[in-house]
Amino acid sequence: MVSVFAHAPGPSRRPREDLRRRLTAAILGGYLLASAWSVGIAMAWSAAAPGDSLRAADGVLIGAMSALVVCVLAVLWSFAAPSVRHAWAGLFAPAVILALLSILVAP
Amino acid sequence: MRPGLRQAMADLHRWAGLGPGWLLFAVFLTGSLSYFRPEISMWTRPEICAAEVVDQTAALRSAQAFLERNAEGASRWLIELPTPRLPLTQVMVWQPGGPGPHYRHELLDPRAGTVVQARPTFGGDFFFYFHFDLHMPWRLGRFLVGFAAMAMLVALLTGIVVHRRLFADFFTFRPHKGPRSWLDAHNVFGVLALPYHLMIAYSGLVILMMLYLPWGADRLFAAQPALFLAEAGQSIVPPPDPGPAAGQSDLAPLLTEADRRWPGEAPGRVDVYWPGRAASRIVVTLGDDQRLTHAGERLVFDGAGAPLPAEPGQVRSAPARLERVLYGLHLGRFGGWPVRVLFFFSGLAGAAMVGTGLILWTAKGHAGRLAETLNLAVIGGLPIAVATFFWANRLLPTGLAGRAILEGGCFFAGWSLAAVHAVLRRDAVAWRTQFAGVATLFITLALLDGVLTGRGLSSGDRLFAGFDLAFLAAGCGFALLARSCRARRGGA
Repeated sequence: MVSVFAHAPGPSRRPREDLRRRLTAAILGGYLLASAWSVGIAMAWSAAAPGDSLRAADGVLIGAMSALVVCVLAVLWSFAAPSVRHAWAGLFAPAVILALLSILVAP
Repeated sequence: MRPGLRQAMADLHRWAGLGPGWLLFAVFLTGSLSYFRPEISMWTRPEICAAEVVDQTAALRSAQAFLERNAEGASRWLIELPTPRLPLTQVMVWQPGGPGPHYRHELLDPRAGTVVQARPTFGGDFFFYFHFDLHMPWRLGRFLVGFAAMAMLVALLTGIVVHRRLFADFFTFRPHKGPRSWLDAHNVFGVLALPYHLMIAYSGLVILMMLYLPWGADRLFAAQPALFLAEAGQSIVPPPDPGPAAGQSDLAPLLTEADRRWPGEAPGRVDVYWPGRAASRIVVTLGDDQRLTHAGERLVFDGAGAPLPAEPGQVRSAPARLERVLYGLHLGRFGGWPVRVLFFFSGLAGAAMVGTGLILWTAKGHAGRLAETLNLAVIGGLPIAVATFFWANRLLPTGLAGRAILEGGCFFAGWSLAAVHAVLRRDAVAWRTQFAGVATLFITLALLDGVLTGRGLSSGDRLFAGFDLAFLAAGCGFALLARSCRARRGGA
């Protein structure tokens, strides 16, 4: 019986509190990182040719389309990280770096 | 892979699938129906007998005449030209302000340019808008559906990780084995259309991504949001000042230019910003029927009909084209009937994947009473709601005030009744009752539709015969499901 369901989702072995914190990190941290990513990529892309509205629009599209993938990866990371602290660190640190990048390259 | 990681992905698969699972089921089912949006719109208006497609130039001319008579002072006209799937002209009018309604939508006879006399209904638009908007205010539905789509992407990826014997399981089905059978069915439906599921979830998110992630556009186009849409190839920048009255030029000759530019392909729509004013802009957009890109080609003209090739609004870059391609992929209008049917059944496979996953969870005894009730209310209740909508379309008096809204109300009333039934009874008998109810609704609709409209199976009308056959097939499918519930109860 165990072998049949070994590869299917079973009852969680994680403490409920850990699960709740990881879900919070996945939803809030994932959105935070995706938002920072979308802005950072858009700003960096448009910074190569300031004043070019076509390039700026391309940056916005690339940033948003790739941010959706980043959000998925962030959610996966939230559950794959060894601890909730690691999960938040892995989400928050790149978000801060991207936010700083978007401020630095702002026109 | 370390066992801890697999268990972590299993946890995530469960919560990403269970949380928004009921919503995803509804989105998949109504989204699948939306592949036949024009056909449903025609079926729900049986008074219209438009068998042949009228020449687009004649249709545009008659629509312009109608708009000049009935939409003076509008800020925008949008004319959707007739197609073989919906051989009617649709006109939409936006008024700049004042006491009257700001938006109007009419279906026109493409020959006469008069409003078609048919029962008021939202037709296929009801399911189309429900599948991403849920008919909720303040764009709340779009946010919920976006959250569900993101959760689905996560559930799909973690599902691949968790089900390590993915392709071996695809060929395994162990009937009458309780949770094992649901697991096998869940795997089959998940793997069967896995590329479609990944594509439809991601492209759905891309279509609404500027609602979820507007921050980049806010930073770079805060002063000119319309310029972003124009540079992204999604619309033009409408002139802010309409200028003095100048008389509207004839729109029909612009189709000749469109034909020269896109030989063998038909334009889909004509937009007129500030019609009859000096600053007017006319946009002719290529139809979606033959290209993967959605609204990927545009011709822009000034009010006098002179081309403006340098006007922003064209798809000019790879990222913009990619976004348009993903949009076109999601809509599935590019490949004719084969693609539409393939996408329809893939969408149903998605609903079945979600439904079997939800039932698997309750069958394994891990879910509470609420989950069991929701399973029945959504998996059994939503098909009842869909059938109720179609029945309401046939039974509500055609002259009833607010009839179109009442049709939608019947959809939700049918669903609510099923939900109340699910609250009262959650056992196999309740499942059998709801599936038998759906089967009865669809089979009787197929049999009686000809009596109600005179356009049933025997009339030779392909559209109506197709719907009757589809209703019969759906009814028989649900009857088999009801029978299987009875068999299981007998076995138990």
